[in-house]
Amino acid sequence: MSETADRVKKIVVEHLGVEAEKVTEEASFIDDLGADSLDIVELVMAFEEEFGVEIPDDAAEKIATVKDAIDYIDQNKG
Amino acid sequence: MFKGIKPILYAGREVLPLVEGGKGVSATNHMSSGAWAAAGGIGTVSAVNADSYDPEGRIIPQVYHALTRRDRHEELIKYAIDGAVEQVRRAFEMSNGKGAININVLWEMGGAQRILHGVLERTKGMVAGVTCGAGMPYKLSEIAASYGVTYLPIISSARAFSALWKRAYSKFAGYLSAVVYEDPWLAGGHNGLSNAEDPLAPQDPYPRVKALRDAMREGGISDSVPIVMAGGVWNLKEWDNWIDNPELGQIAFQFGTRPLLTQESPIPDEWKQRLMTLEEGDVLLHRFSPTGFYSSAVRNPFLRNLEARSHRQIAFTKEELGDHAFQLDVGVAGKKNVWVTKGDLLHAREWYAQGFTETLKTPDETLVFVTPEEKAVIRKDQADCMGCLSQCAFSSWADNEKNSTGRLADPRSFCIQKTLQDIAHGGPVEENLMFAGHAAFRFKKDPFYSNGFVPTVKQLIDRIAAGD
Repeated sequence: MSETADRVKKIVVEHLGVEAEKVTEEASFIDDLGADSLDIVELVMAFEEEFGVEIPDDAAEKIATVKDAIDYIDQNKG
Repeated sequence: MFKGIKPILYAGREVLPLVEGGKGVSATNHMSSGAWAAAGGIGTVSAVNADSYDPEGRIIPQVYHALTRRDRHEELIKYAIDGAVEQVRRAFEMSNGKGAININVLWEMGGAQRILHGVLERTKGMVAGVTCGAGMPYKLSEIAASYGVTYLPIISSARAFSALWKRAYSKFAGYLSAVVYEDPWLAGGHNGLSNAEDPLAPQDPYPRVKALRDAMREGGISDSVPIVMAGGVWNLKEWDNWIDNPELGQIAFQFGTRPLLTQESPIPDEWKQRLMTLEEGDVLLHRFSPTGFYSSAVRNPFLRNLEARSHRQIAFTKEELGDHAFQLDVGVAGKKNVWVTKGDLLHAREWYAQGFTETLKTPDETLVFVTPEEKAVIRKDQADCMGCLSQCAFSSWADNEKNSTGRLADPRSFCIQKTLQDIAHGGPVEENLMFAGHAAFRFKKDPFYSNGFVPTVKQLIDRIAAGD
């Protein structure tokens, strides 16, 4: 598992208060992890802060699963 | 003794701190909002699929001709822009330079951003502010500011405001003219309950609004930028300690339900009459809306039917599994691969005997039992979908590349466009979704409305300004 994946999952677990085992890469924030639209915005902001990467609105809208977040961060972090 | 309200500076003009809550579809239009502004307040045109008129002044029915959902969605956007522009123009004219005209949109309505651009482009100088809720409208500020128009996010927690502020609004701070705090337990229409809040445990709005003001101060926003208290507001005597309260900063008040019952209110008479008969507890906070949000509406036969349909629901598996050891033998047209528990089998047979002889699958691996007539209506409504939401649980439409949510269409929900258009244009109030706030029962108790009195907007505003 990549370092990015580890850190993303840690943020998701802390923010959504879900069990770590549930945070698989395929997990959908809304359908599987019980996030609402406010959670998603806060998660995106937390990812930006943690990784020093900007996630514009259009990209944020496409982040539906844990893997989407990891991939975006890996492709865009400096 | 009620201390009274004073005019405030809003979007560069002096207005009363009284806001007409925008209500779609067509429950606030130019008639109501124009009159509200003319009386000195902030009137709100609902820009959600508003009415247009033919040259004779008749409402143009929003009929969809295109064959695909995507193309009907395009028709919908055109109707929405044309309608909202017409309503704003008429409202602005009626306001006679007094008060202010806002527009209200649902962020999760289909084509929200395109509609906002389309409307603001054609109504320059007329719209003072855009109110927007139902979702996380973080592009609202950018869009409104690009037309020199102010924006008023509708939020239900300090937490939501902080996220929006940090993410987007702080870049357009100068265009933030107010923040609407909408009580997620008491307001009518769609409610902003997040997963962190218990729908059955309402919270006092005061500490929540105080927290919102603190969050605004943290963002460097002046106390003169009003927080508009919305949801559950009936008379201002009950809110006296909110007025001129340094802890809260400038407060304005929004009225959603009371303006439904005025001479200028565009809703049909049958709807107005029904409002006067509501009892406490008749408004239900529920989750049947195809948006996926909680919402509040009168618990009429329409809503009771949805409750009953969801009750006639059983879980199933496609093979024998655990307790699912019994093959369903009713409502599945002889299919052998539907396994349920013994208890559910007995329920299913009972419903079948009552005439609920058809089943529909839900996205949650369950079946609901419906009559053949209901099934036909549900299927037709799903097929007729015109993409009025960004995503719709009922039809599975989504405003994305695939035009699908990727989930099964959910028969426990309903076509919100169809029912809201119908009730607004004279359809039966008992057979349609009748949005209302949780204080609606007060029409019956408030002496202002005794003997069936229906005030003008001016009379209502005078009454509210006097604290009653």
